[in-house]
Amino acid sequence: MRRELSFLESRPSWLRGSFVALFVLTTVYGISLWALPPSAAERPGRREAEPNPKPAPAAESTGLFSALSELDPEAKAEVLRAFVERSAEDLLLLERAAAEGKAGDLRFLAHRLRGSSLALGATALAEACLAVETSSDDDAPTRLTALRDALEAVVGQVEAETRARPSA
Amino acid sequence: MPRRALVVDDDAVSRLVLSHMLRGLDWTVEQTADSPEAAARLNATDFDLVISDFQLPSGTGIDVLHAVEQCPRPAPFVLVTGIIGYSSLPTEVTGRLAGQLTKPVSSETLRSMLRRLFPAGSG
Repeated sequence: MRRELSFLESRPSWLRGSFVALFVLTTVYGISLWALPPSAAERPGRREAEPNPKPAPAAESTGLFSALSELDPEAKAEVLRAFVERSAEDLLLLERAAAEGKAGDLRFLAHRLRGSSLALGATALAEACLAVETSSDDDAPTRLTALRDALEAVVGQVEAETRARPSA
Repeated sequence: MPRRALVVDDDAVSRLVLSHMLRGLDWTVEQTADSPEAAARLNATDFDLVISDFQLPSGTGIDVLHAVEQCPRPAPFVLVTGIIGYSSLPTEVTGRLAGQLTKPVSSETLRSMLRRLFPAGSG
């Protein structure tokens, strides 16, 4: 320290002042980083510093739920709950209609599920529903399998959305 | 006093979304799932607007349109659907519609249609 000071003493006064100011500022900044709790450092606008950022729900990037974007969180949650309940029920009814060879029921139920899908903005699921609506007796089972897969994917995204935003 | 709408759709999710959108625009909303129930509501209550899906369990939205037209003060009737092109509806029917909506209905489309049907200051 004494050596550092003697080094400064041989410098012009304005330079000595600058070194001292720099030393003080660096020390104060270092102490503040050490002393402040992490929550105070993680202010909005510093998200890049988050060690484990939460991945954005996949649904947001696919446009799913975009049709619900202007609903308040409680309304959106009610719609998503209704979708999960009704779609599970409709899938059971669809499988029963297919097993019993009731083509009219199959088309009606697929149409209703297509309406729910479109209301959510789930276009891939809506297309799978349309494929069942327009299927012949022979290809209905295959298309119903595709519909079930598409529905499972959407329900998975609904559950991820609900977990990510419990009030959504 | 808020305006009153009747939403008719057998799909609960579509009905719910449309109802929430309307409530967000300060409307009072009643909902039914089929045309006979809709006719009963129309007999009992005055509505300022009726929005119906085309495909219904007991028939079509056109049955609801008939019920609206029987009312002493028929409300504007809007048909909403995701299955048919409106070009496939007879002109005789499309001429009686106050509006047409295609699923998924966005808030902006709904707002724009309501502004057209109920211009500011129209009561």
